[in-house]
Order: sequence, then structure tokens, then C-alpha cells
Amino acid sequence: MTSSLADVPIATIDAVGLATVQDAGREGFTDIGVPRSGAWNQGRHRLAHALVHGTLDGPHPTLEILGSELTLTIHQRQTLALVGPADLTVGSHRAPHAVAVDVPPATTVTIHHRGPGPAYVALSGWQPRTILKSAATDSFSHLGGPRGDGSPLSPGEVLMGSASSQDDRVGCFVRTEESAPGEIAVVAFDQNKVESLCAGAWQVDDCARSGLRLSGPHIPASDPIQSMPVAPGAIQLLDDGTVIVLGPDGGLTGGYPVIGVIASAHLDFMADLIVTATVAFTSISAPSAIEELAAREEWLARALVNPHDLP
Amino acid sequence: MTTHKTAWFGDRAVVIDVASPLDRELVAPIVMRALPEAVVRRGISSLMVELPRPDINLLADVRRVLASVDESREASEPSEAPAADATISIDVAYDGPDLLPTATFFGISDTELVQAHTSQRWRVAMMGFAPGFGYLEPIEAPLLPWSSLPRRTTPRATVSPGSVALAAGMSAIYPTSSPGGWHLIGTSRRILFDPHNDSRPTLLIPGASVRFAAINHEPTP
Repeated sequence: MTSSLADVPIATIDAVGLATVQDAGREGFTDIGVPRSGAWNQGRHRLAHALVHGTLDGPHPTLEILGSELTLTIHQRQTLALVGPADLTVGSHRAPHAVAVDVPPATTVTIHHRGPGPAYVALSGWQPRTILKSAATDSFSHLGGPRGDGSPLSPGEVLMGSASSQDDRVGCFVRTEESAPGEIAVVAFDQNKVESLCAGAWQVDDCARSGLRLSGPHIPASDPIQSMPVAPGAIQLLDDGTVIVLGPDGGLTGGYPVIGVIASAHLDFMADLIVTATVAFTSISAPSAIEELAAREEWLARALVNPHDLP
Repeated sequence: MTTHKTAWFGDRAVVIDVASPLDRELVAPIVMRALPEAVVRRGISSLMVELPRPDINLLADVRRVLASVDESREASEPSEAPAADATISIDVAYDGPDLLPTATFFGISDTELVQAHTSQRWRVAMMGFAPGFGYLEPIEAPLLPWSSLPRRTTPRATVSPGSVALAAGMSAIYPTSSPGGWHLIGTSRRILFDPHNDSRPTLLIPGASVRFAAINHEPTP
């Protein structure tokens, strides 16, 4: 059964720690200075999206939960799914993780974030407004989110959309959890510097959606460069040896030398690194990184199970 | 074989080193036409060719396009970059707090600084820092030694939208309120970034030419 009521309140945020509205991001505006932004861990966002909407890739948003607790009161029947390091309570019952569940009206939903890294909640009828074709909250460019200015969710905000219980999705689940790689793969832009990067462990000193700041083995400073385009995953080397890894809300131009770029297949795992965490890197060629991404895409495509399809 | 140095930038993009702004403006539109699925982003002395999905052939494709650029260049040496669609004219009230100190830095009067800034033709070399923020470089020979002007020693915590600025050989207009380390020489009331305009959210676009015109703003009531 699918019913639709245009632009009705489907849920109210009762309490929230740190959570934002995210989706696949803003595609096609990077050349004019608008970052892509979007879910920090695209894999988890896409799995939550697929559990509720049936496809990994689509325009629907998720709630990206980065800290503490999120409590919602559901007003219109919804199919809901949580993917990531958090616990879900629907009404007074603990609900399964990474499974599409039916939530009737007047139900309180609580998501307790455990971490590390973001968790994602998809709701079947949620249709937030978009800015530049995306609902993504971009903290750097002050775009998107409930007020359109890049701010995170706050108590009292109402999610708009339609009543949309997708019975055919209820019970769909994710087959297995994805495990993090032991080392994060880096495509070298400066081979010698990346060899130094891979020589020891690095500690996370600061983390935000704009990027992570790491300290570790000494890498000699590079020659100054002229400002160049950069992208999420770019690893910049500062003069004092600090390393910055750009996140989804990072700037699009950079004046610090780039020594390498995180392989796309491993970029999501950077979102799980919190302050004091350690991380090690390994060098990978661009063709091998592309093969690794294809393998991850295959895993994602096979990860979802619809019990109605089982023999 | 191309004379341009190229390298993978991760697994979704390739960076091309360009010899000069003229070279960048010649190469960018050719790559954009040859690889329409790619986003081509400009740097000061580089171009980034970025795909939405990784393609193992990207580096070879870029090198093939660059080889064709070199071949056509050998056939006829171009002397200037392709003309932008139209010059974007931007009215400026030269009332910035750094106008006089900047003029003093160049050893000229504020009137002479305004004269030079409005007589210079500028080009959007690249965009970034903030949505709609264009790094403007002189198209012809600089009318003042713009590149000798360093950034401010201490950046301002907040620069107002519309602030017209100079530093490090370039000019810019801050589209939104943000921190900023450039010298503020005036203000413009043009909307640089409209997030509700999906088809053209920014006034400036990469490669466009820009001209400033001096005006007096009516005082805000």
C-alpha cells in the first residue's frame, strides 16, 4: 500500500545531538565553487536508501547522525531504516538494525548513536526542499538543511513529505556489515611523499565534515604551489608536517601541496575516524583503485536482501 | 604524445599542468568539448578533469585530447585565448577600508588605483573558496604590479558580501559573508551567488571576462 499526501508533516524532531540532512550531494556545480557535499559515508547512506526506496542510487535524503541521540515523533505512517553504528527504538521496542521497519503514526522513534562514524536513517515519505538540486547540508558553503543555511537539525523542526508506508520494503535487510580495511588506500600525486605517508601510523587530531587533521611521521615540506582544484579525499601537506584530508564539505581550491588522494573505495571509512583514532595508509595505483571500487559496488549491490524474493 | 604533464588525481580525476593562463584558456574548452561527461575545473596553472564515475581510460583519453591540441597548435600558433561570451560589467563603489592603504602601497593616489582597477580587463581564472567566488586575473599586461601586493597580515574574521578585494595579483568579490585576507577596496551590489537559480547560480563563470565600473552608491535609507 502506498498513499500520498503532499507536503504534510511526517515527523517532528523532539531531541537531537548532531544530525544533518544529507543525500548523494550536489552534482555538476563544482566548477563554479559549490562543493558536492552529501553523505559523509555514501555506502551507509545508499544502503539506508535502498532498504526504504529499493535502489542504492536515488534522490531521496537520509538523516546523517554524528552524535548523541535523535528522537522523532512520527505523524504519518512510514517505512524506516537505520544503517550505521547506532541503536534503534520504535515505540517501546528495540528494532533491528539495517532492516526496513514499519512505523505507524503517533510513534516515538529514538536513535542512539554509538559511533564511531555516521549512521543514516531513511524515511519513505520524507521530501525535504532542495537547493541546487540537492537536500544536502553543506556546513562549509552554508547551503541546505532545514533552514537552507547549512545548519544542522534542531529540536522542534518538522520533516515534511507524505504518508508512504511501503509494505513491499518492510523486512528487507542488509546481509552483512561492511568491515573497514586495515589500511586506507591512497593514489599518489607525489610518490615520494606518499611513501613517507605510508611509513607509519597517523593520529587524528581534529575531524569535521570539512576534513580531518592528522599528525604522524615527519614528511619534508613540499615546494609552494599555485592554488589548484581539490576534491574530497585530497591529502594536503602543510609546512609544519600536518596532514589534512579533505571531507565532503571541504573547499574546492587549495593552496597547500596535495601529496595523494584517498581511493574512492576507502573514502567512506575516513568518516569513521574520530579524534585520537589512529590510521595507516597504503599506496595504490589509480587503475587498482578503480578495480577496488568496482568490487565494493558489487558488494553493495549484493548486500541487500528482500525476503519476498527468497525461495 | 603531449607536451602537457598529466597525472591521476585519485581515481576519478586527472590534473593537467598548463604553461600559462593563455594555455589554460585554450586547453579547457577543447577538453570540455572532447569529454562532455567530465567536469573541467580550472586552477591558476592547472586543470582538473573530473568524472562522476571512475573510468580506467580517463588518463589516456585526456592525453589523446592534449595531443590533438598540440598538433593543431603546431599548425597555427594562437596568440590569444578564445573570447568569452560577453564581458560581465560590475559596478563598484570604491569605498573599501583598504582603498587608501592599498593605493599607498602602490605609491599612487586612491583615484589612480580606481583608474587602474577599472581600466584593467580581468578574467575568471578559477572559482572556489566559496560558491560564486571568482579569482580574477589580469587578461592583458597588468596596469599595476598587482602581484606585489601580499595578502593582509591578519585576515578579517568577517568580510561583508559584495566586498571588492585585491591580493596576490588578483581581484575578487566576496559573494557571501566570510572570513577574508584580501584588501577591501570597494563594494558591489551585484548578486554573485543565487542558490535558488539552478540553471545559473553564479554571476561569474570560469573563463569569463570582467570589467569594473566606478559608481557612487546611493546611501541606504
